[in-house]
Amino acid sequence: MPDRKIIVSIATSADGFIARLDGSVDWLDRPGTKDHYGMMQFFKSIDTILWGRKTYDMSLGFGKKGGGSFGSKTMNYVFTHNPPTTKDSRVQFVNEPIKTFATRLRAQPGKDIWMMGGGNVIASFLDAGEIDEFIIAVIPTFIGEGIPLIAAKKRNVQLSLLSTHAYEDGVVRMHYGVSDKL
Amino acid sequence: MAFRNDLVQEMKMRKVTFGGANSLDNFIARTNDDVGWLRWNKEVTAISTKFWKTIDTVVMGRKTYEVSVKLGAGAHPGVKNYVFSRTLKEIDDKRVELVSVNAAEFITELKRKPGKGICVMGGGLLARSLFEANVIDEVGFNIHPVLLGSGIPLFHEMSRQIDLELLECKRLSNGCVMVRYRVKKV
Repeated sequence: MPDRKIIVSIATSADGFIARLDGSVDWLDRPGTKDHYGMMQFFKSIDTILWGRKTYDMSLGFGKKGGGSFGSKTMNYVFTHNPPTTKDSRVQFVNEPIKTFATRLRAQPGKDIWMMGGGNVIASFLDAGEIDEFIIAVIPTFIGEGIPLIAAKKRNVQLSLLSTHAYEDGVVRMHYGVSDKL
Repeated sequence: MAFRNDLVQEMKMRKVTFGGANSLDNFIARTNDDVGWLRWNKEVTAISTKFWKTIDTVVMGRKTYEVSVKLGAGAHPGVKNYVFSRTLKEIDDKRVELVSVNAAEFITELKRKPGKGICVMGGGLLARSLFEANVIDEVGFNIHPVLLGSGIPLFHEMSRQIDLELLECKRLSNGCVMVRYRVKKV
């Protein structure tokens, strides 16, 4: 059985930001495509979502559908130094070393794992060698300033391009494998 | 009729292009200016050669020029080279014209004169001021499959949003993705 992969799947602006400085993503709102830039298919391939705390809290604000909900079958792990108590069995707050967490999670049977972001938790997983793939949907706009895809640090991560697709409305989706995992 | 004249004028103007090779996380060089991660192949050379035939002028900021000199290149051959700087008094290279007036105004004037396309080299501050002044018409990137994490950014932060129209997206055999966008003018 193949190992479960941890996959960053996210939209960025053409200048490489995942949100404006205040966290807003109004620039993502667009008519979209039938398959939501491949997201519908991707969502079927995962059963677990990893979140940074700020991103999770933002999503609660957007949705109000009962707690960062992406369906009742999806398990959510939220990374935070200050875990609050929760009664939601589908949400667990995590405050342990990434390697320990990821090793345990990968050992459990299941589908692939969606790394939702933001930039800090992506950076931490990447630097721990725990990101397998990136699926980036580039929105055709420069937002000027914002939160970068991955928090800054000197690194040198080689990727291999698996596929690329240009949508009619100008969104470009690129799928990369991380080729030199630590 | 005024509108129509403007349109005709706009169509006649020389195209200003900005772009270059970048990492997936949008850096054009490491912090120490290293570009050893760049991938070249015949495809890239062909695209580059084709592009250079469409331009006759290169504009760059002082820092980009200095890096180019350091790498042994300096001025680009076969085209008119303008270097923008408020601090330099002179450049000891006859192939280069030093410009100390406002870059956006200078290039807007250039656009109205007859000639081929104009290419903005390097990232940084010159590109930002030209974007903000609506001078850049097209952008093109050769996105490399690497995450550098830090370095010289392709973009400096800009004060407003700039919407783009995708003109071309091409997957190259070396794992790079070449994208070209038209800048939507406000």
